Amino acid sequence: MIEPVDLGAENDERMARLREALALGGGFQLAVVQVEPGEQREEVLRRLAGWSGRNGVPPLELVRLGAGESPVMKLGGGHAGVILVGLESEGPDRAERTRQMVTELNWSRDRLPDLVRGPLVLVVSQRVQTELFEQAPDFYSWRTHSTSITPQPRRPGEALPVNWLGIEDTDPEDPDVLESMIAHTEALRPPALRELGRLYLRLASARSRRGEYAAVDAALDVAHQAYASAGTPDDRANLLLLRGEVARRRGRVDEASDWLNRARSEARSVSPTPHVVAKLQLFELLLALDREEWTAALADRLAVVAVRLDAAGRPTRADVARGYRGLVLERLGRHAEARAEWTTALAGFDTREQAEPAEYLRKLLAESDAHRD
Amino acid sequence: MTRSPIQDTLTFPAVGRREVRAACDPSRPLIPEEQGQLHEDLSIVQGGDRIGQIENRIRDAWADSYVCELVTGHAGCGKSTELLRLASELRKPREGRAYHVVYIDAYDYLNPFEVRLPQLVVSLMAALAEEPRVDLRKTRSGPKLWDQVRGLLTKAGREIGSDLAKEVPVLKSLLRVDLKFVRDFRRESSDHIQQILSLIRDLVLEVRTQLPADQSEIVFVVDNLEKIPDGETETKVSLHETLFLRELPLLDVPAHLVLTYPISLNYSAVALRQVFHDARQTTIPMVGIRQKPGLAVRGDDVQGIATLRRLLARRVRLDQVFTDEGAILGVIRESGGCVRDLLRLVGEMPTVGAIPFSSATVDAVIADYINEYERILQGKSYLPLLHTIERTGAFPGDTDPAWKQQLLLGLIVLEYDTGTWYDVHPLAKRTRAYRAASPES
Repeated sequence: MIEPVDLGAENDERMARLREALALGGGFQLAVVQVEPGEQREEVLRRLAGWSGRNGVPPLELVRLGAGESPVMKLGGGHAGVILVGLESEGPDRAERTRQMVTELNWSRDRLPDLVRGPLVLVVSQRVQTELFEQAPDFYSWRTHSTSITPQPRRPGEALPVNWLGIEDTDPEDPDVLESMIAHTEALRPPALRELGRLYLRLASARSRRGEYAAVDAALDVAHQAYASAGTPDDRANLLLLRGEVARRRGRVDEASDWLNRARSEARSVSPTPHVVAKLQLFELLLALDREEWTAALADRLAVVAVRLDAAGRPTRADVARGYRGLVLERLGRHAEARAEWTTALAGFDTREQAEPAEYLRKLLAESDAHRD
Repeated sequence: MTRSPIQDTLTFPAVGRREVRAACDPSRPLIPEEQGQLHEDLSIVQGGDRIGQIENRIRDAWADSYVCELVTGHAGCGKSTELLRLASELRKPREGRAYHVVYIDAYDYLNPFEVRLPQLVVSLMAALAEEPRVDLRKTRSGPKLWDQVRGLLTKAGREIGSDLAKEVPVLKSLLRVDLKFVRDFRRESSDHIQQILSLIRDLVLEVRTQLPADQSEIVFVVDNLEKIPDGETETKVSLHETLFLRELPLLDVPAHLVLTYPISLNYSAVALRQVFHDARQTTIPMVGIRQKPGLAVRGDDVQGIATLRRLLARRVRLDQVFTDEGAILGVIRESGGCVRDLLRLVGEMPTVGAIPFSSATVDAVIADYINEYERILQGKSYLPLLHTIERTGAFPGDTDPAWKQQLLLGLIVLEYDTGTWYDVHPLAKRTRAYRAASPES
């Protein structure tokens, strides 16, 4: 059972307009909703499902694209209306996969009204929307409605992409691929327990990105068992931090704080690596952000952590710290410094081709401008 | 395109909220039955009747000379609408002569990830086989070409029957859906391409003998080739350049050809006209709504705005749907002269306000689209370039070609009067990202 999420008044208004647009349409219509994966997206999907077949909105069928699936083939068979998700794709080749899917939609555009008689609602991330805009102009120019669900400004920690504090500096991974790797690894004799622990941790991180928290908990439990017998203190500290991050994502700040304390104890049982130390510090600062402690001291400490993470060879996480520091500075009215932090972090993400956090920072830059207008 | 004309279910010009939204649906290119009611001649504000000129060049072609017309344009400029109109006009007798137009939608025959000359030749053959007045079995070269193609299909791993007429649906499906098969087929064809080209040439000639004497000239209109994505071929060369600059020029059939092509090739180092023999290029531009650069004060292009107003008036009852001329003028200006954008903006108005729509409704409806441009433009390195284009109406000579493509494809920069001048989309100009990049800020 998904609990309702407060999208905020502005987003509620945008959703009301979307419903009006869907109800006013008489046949095929393309609507685009930009919302990042996570709780906000799940809330959008929940609302769309609630409108389906009511008050003039045609029935809407949720179609989730799996790994390697063709969007056009998946729409085959005829539908009264469709909510299409999954164009982001996952795994190391996700940019290429997204491009292929976008190309396919562009190419098949004229046939889509035969496949979907009513609304075709694409629920996409900023990265995919940009791809549609730049690579599929014929398809995209057919949209009859376009809206964006913006992150809630008073909950900055939650607004950031889930995986920013994941256990590995990786791009989003495909859970199906990870499960297949786990199946093969579990068959090894003697068992590779530590590797299994790592894989389950990555699986938890991937599931967390999708807001599939029951599956996250299950994966973390297995990783915990594996690390209990074969992991190092750093492994266990990382696992506890991920548990904390998941709790934080669910708005359970006190629980997250408990996980942080346990992670600290675990790390201190030996001499922790500089990376783990910096991660613990960063996590502590994020919890302070969740408690809305917008102070200059917090901004300064984030700057120090960013330097430490860079020194520990973790540029992605260092840029995450800079992103958060920008949020604090923006809140303190130090707009130019905030922009400088976001611009530096954005350059890092762009260089490493990490599209989602880069697009997120672009949005922050845009929103910061908007608030000053 | 088998849908029924929109006027069967909707009375024009529309007045009600639901009707206005339906009347301004940007995803409906006009089919021939809708042209009389809804088509507005934009030629006078698009630098001349370009489609009419194509028709004239085809009709004026002497004896056995054939024209090759290459057509492109931005998304939403009305390419498909204009090509369907061209096909419809060419089928009408004029001075005792009409044309047998074979309209080929590339989507029906090709896989976007593997479009090359052999597949295109097969699609011409399949399209001819589907023509009701044509029986390829009664030609000498039809069965011969089909045998040749069948042999290659077998080598690529698919056995297929000997009766082409019966096998066309299977053939089309294979070419569209099975990417591995299509790639294998193309590889197998490479050694036989000259033979295939020669046979299709003979076939088109023979088909013409089956047609009525006053309609014996064939025009192939191949639409949607412009949507083929660029990529790399097996030899690491651009697919667009391979297909459009090297392979398609080899297609030499005794028929007139009208082919669409990606607008990005307008900015390629190798000019299409250099490689296509006697081909003419046509780019369908946006409708000018702002005066050209060069004037001290650049006001509205009165003629362009009046034309778009007439186009809109065919669809909605302007005096009842809008509060005043200011609101109408406002929405036309925000469209940048892109017809599809104009229709989208008006079609969205019922979701933000009640009829009659005012200037405030226009502001409300453009807000979301400005945000969309905002998110796309933030942090982009080309932002200062946009100010140069806005000021001069031109791309500087040293513009990165990739930027140029991106800006034009994404409708951030619009082209007017076929390359004569450019302008930044009005909605893009309204973004903070654009304003912040101003040299004066």
